[in-house]
Amino acid sequence: MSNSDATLANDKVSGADETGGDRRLWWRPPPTVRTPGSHHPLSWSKLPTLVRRLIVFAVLVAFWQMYMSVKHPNPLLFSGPAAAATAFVDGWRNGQIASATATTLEVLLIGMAIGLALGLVFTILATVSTVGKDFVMLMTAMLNPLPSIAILPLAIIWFGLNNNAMIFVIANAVAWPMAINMSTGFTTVNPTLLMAARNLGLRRWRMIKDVLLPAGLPFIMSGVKVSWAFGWRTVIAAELIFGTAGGSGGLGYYINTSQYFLKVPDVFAGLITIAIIGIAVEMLLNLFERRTVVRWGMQRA
Amino acid sequence: MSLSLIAAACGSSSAAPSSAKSTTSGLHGSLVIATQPDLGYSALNIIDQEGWLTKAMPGVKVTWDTVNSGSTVETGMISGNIDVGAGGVAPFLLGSAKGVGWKLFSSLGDENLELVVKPQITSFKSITSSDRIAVVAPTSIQAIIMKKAAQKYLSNPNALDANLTILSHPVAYQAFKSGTIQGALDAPPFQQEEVAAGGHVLVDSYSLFGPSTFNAAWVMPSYYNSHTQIMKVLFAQIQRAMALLNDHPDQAASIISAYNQGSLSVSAATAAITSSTVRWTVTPQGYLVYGSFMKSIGLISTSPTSVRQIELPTLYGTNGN
Amino acid sequence: MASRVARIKKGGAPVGDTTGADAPGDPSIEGTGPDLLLSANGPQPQRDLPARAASNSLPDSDSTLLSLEHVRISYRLRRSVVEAVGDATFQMDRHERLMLIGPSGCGKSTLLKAVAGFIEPEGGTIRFDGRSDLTPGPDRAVVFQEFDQLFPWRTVIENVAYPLRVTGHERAEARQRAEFFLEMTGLAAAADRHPHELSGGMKQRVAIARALALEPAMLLMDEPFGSLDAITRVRLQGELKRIADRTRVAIFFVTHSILEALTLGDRIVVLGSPPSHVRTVVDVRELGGPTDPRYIEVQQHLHEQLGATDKDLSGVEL
Ligand SMILES: Nc1ncnc2c1ncn2[C@@H]1O[C@H](COP(=O)(O)OP(=O)(O)O)[C@@H](O)[C@H]1O
Ligand SMILES: [Mg+2]
Repeated sequence: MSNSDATLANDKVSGADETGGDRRLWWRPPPTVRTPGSHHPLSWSKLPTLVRRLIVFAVLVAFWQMYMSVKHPNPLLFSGPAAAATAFVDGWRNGQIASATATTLEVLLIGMAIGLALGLVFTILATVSTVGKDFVMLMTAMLNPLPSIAILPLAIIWFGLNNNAMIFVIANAVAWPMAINMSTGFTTVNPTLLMAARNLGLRRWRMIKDVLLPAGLPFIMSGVKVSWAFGWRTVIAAELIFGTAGGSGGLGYYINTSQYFLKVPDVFAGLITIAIIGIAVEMLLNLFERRTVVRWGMQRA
Repeated sequence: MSLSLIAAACGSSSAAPSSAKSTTSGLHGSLVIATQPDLGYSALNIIDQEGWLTKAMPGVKVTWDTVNSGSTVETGMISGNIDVGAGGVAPFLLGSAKGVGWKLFSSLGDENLELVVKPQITSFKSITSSDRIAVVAPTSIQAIIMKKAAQKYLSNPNALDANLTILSHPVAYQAFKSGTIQGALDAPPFQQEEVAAGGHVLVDSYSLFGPSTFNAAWVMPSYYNSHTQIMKVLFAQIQRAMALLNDHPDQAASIISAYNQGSLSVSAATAAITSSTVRWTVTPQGYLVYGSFMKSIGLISTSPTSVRQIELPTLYGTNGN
Repeated sequence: MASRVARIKKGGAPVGDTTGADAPGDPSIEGTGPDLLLSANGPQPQRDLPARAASNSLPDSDSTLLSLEHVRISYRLRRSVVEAVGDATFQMDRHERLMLIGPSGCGKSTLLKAVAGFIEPEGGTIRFDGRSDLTPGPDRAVVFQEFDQLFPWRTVIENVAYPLRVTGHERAEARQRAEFFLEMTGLAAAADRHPHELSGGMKQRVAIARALALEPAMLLMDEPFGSLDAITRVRLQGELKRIADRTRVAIFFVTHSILEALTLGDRIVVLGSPPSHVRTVVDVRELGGPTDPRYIEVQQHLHEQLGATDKDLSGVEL
């Protein structure tokens, strides 16, 4: 703060000198640029990312605890960090959360993999043929705004009351945003680059694999991020609608059941698990981006 | 539309306890009542549809909420957003054991719940691990009935846990018809429809526990004590609705059909209301037996030892159990 | 009347080519569209060329690599048609360096894209190496003006080696050859960097190395140094001259700089304003260099030719 103030003041002084005329320098030293935080050794932006995130996390937990201490919410509705942490540890110790997480992640990852693959196939179809383009445009316009959970009854009729129904719903939730993002990525590829590629004799499959896909990667990555969020919401919502008792239910089922049994700390333990997985996946995707699109200068860090 | 108006007019002339009106017209305040889309809430639905509360207490702002899940009712009551909630025996006992503090205000009726299964299932022993049986919630009375049945017929209350699938009544009915699930323990009219769709009744709740309340209205003592007059009016209207259901089921059916905006025909509503599995009463039933069973299998830590512990003064002298 | 208007070939790249101010949809273009269409067979190319001009009407021979005959190219816009090239006729020999010069917007890039196979002319024929149905191919390797013609996700050496893999070279051989051409263009030290870590001049050198490595019959260069600063430009011009002398690759070079044309070219084809036709063709091979008194003369001549066709000389560098 004080740094920039000082720079401003200096500028004003030298400005006055210039208009004054006689002591005007024909050469002026370049202004020293101070990036914020280059002064104090312990400034925020210099801390390692992990430390910064941990501090933010600690502050959030502190606010959470403060809310508990000040408002004393009904423990049947809301749980404090300590109780949630205990339930979290216990839930992982006795294997309940672990098995619920495994169940959910399995369904989610299979559904997402299928959805991403379908999104890719649709995009390629739309790229290589006009009929494909018409089909994908229409399907995307129709199905993308639909809350994907709305097709769960249909999925149950087609696939039965099992994971396949959920996988179908997740794949549907993922395929369309993926197709939209991917085709945006494909159509915004730099025209010069495309001409260069065609000039090198690249055709269809090689063009898609070696030019359109990597060139569209920034969009594809944001598609994956959107899809991930859609996929999560869908799987949790689907598990709320049907889950299996007897230990094979997923996280959504775990949270819902805990809620029914008024085990509020367990509800929070389930939510924390989802949050942690979210953070982990975000970190993984960011790492991937740093290794690819950021390293290639196609996107800023 | 006109039909239901006539029905309403007939209803009020024949079944209204005329004393309530004069003493309550000066009441003020607000009352939030939550129900779920289910015939088990018919008594409350009739009051809502006919506007009886507004007529009886013009000064009281009455809000009717229809929610989709029992846990929403519970959360709403605990947080004070719902004054009168309603639900089954098991969630009530579970909440009581957890210290929610709610009390029974009035029963909304008894129902004998039936486990309907596909023909290939002839006994509990013939249920295989791939057979799916739907119940509405893990803490529902249906889930408790399944545990009791498993204990009685398979010697282990948890023996059928892995077969249970959580589905709402309409979805369970669809799934049963399409063969996605092999059994369903839900409620009228779905259990009758499932029998009509080729299922048969494997066990019913009365044979395991005796007659029991299906739904009851719950109120927090704090609200009850500060709104005794409003509570009296509500209870009187529930009794009036019960009288209508018992004495004039055809009128009640047309009101219920109108309440459901035609998605339930009058004849279907009549059939459901007059079904032999249902009894319309304000007297709570079965809380003590369910409570001791739930405690015995470790689902709850404490269970009521007398009905007085769990009911509000409205029910004193109704001889519940 | 033009019944067949230039069909942008599938892939549609030229439609998206919006470099420069003369982009599609430019109101000045749309306004002149229909009139230009009417004068499609307008002014004929001048046949009575100055003494030093090489004849551009020699019959095809074995030494001819490329020949254009009455090539006419238009762009169809939403509500109008832009006549870019009115009538282009000239030839180019093997190993020759042909410079195409003209004011901005006269259709130089359009012609180059037609030779590269990106655009199909609506009239006339383009014959390359005996073929006239041209599709884009590595035998006519293109170097564009834009820096972003490299694959950002590939390192410098991969950018050069990858096209060789596509054209069927073994991995080791492709790499060896890429190294050789990077060496030639002075990029050996930057081989493992990604394009975004290079300066503009280095990027253009990579593009040149990539094109050369394909050992094309002809190098098509569309103002490759147009976006560079003056110093880098002069240096790269020198390097290109040296490399071209060494590889003897034929170069079809588009420029709007008279100086660049004189420095690099064997012959200079001057286009007029759109719908353009060949104003004149100048042979500069026998000139001694900037010190030769005739050099000034030729420069003057080019200046006149360009000035005579275009009052606004802003697009032409002297
Ligand atoms: N893709 C296009 N669509 C429509 N008009 C175009 C397109 N490309 C070029 N033109 C027009 O054609 C004419 C010639 O363009 P161009 O070949 O790029 O000129 P130069 O390279 O000589 O500057 C210009 O008037 C330009 O506006
Ligand atoms: Mg150009």
